[in-house]
Amino acid sequence: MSCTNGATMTFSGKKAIRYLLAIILIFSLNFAIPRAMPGDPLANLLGEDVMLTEESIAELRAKMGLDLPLHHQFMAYWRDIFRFDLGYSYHLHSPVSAIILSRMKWTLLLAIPSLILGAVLGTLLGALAGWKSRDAGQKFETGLVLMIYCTPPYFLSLLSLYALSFKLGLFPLKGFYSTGSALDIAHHLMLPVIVMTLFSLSRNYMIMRGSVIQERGNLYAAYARAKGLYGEELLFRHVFKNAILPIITLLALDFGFILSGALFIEIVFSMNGMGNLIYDALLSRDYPVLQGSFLVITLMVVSANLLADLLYSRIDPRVRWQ
Amino acid sequence: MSMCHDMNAPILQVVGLSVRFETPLGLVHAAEDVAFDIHETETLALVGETGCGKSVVASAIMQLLPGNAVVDGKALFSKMDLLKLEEKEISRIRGNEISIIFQNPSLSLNPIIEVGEQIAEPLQVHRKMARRESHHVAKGLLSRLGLGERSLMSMYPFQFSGGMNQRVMIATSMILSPKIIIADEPTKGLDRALARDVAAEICKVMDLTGASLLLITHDISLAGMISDRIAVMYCGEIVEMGKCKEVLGEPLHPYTRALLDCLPERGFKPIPGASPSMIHPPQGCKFHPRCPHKTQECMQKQRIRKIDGDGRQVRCWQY
Repeated sequence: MSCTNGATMTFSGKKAIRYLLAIILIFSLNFAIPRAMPGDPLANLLGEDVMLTEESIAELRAKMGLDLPLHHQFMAYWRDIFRFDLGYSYHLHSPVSAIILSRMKWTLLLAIPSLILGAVLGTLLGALAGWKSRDAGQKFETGLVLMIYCTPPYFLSLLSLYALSFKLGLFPLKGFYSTGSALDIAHHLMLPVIVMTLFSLSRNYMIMRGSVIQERGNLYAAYARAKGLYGEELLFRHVFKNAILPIITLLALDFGFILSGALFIEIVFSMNGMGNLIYDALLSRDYPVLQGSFLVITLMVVSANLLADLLYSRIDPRVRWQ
Repeated sequence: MSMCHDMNAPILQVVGLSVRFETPLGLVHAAEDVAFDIHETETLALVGETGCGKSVVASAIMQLLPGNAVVDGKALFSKMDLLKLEEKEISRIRGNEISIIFQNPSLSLNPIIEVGEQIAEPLQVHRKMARRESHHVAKGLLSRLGLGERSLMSMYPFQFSGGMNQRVMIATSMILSPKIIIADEPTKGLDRALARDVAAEICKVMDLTGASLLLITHDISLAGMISDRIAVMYCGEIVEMGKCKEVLGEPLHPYTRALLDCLPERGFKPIPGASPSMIHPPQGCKFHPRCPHKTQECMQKQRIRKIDGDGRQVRCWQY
């Protein structure tokens, strides 16, 4: 047992170091890009559409340290990151870190329940669908899920908004809240969460279904049956654990891109979350906001990948021993 | 190895077993009119070259064949016809009263489950035993098979050699003391020394559990070492059956003789011709295109016939 733990420890340690290096590299690139782009780095750092007087340009250049040697700038850049100072948005007139924090919590409120529900339901239903893939009822269900899987997210969002909110008035038309009470927020979130859950579910469902169909043909499944396992017992004792491995990679992607993944939903339901923030910043060339979001997304993607690696190694011993 | 059995009612009775597979290339006749009995504590070896349908017979008895298989005949086991049982009913027999050892141990074990858990699983599934307790039993069994170290229980199949995995499968197959153990090519792919070890272990298991053994193998000397009776299969049919000593000492069927002549100690003489197609098998006796003694009669189908009162049977026009 101690031997197993030791191996896991060094495995996690190695992985963590690798991902830390990736973060340092990406953050450094983030420093280099605005300074390497053609034109004035100041414009690249503030956004092109910001109008400033000559004096304020000189003042800002000094304040942001752009007149200092590059290595001084680089040190200052890292110092700011550790203070969570991501610059100032001249479009939104607010520090970038404050903007991101306030937007992020809403997006997480929308995306985390959706992704968790989608992962759990999609995996379970997909596993059963793959297990009984010849069953007529399952085939119908798979067809239904495939339809959702193929529908563009914005289209289904629009459709449900039109039918359920506009025509039937079951849900509010837009935003995260109107009065701000917990019940009111939950009511606003319900429809977007359902739509987003359906998409995450359909993706996990299709992958899990295929994976189970592939795994159940393996010899170990036949042997488990020869040992006397029957029906779903065979699925959940033997096939499920092997079949879920590709889903873990998918979950890492989902959680890594959680902030930008809800973009379509946020636009259709007029929700001011991270997706909309990035989208607006892109249109108005608000570079500080874009860069700040980029850094936060990088952190999420890398940590989600690290988590997936650790989870993967927990489930599949072959990974941690090789 | 096992004691001499009395000729009371057989524990397993296979009658007229035929297996066909529907494939895009045509109907594959994998087994035709296969019949044999297995008595208590007896070892019956089903021998024949690769592709003669002997593994198909084993899988058919356990209802483990793929969906495109059409199975006819009967396999009577404690007043039930195994071939007619529902999946749920046969699942209570599998691993419990009849267990099977597959031919590819490293692929047959689940790659991501600890071997201890895999050995203990039949206890949890069939006897509803608690995890802890079942692992305790599994550990005891594994050490009796020479894998006594405590840490081995929590290791995974990919960390084991093929021979160790084979022992894991043997332990799994015997943990519930089944009445019959089917060993499907247990020594395939193992070198000679390892094959002998596995054979010795199987014998030990038979002595420990008092189970009957259906040994499926292409290795005729292995069959000679550990079995009481031998059935020789060719192209889906049993061509000769009888007591081990008699069949190997005095082979009657030309195929049995040819098979014995292939052995290294008899001079490595190959059988002329090639194995016949299972989709378009030869007319009449299936061995006649390769048989040195063929006559006009051999073009007609011959039933397997009893030669003497002692269960010796042969499917040949010469007798």
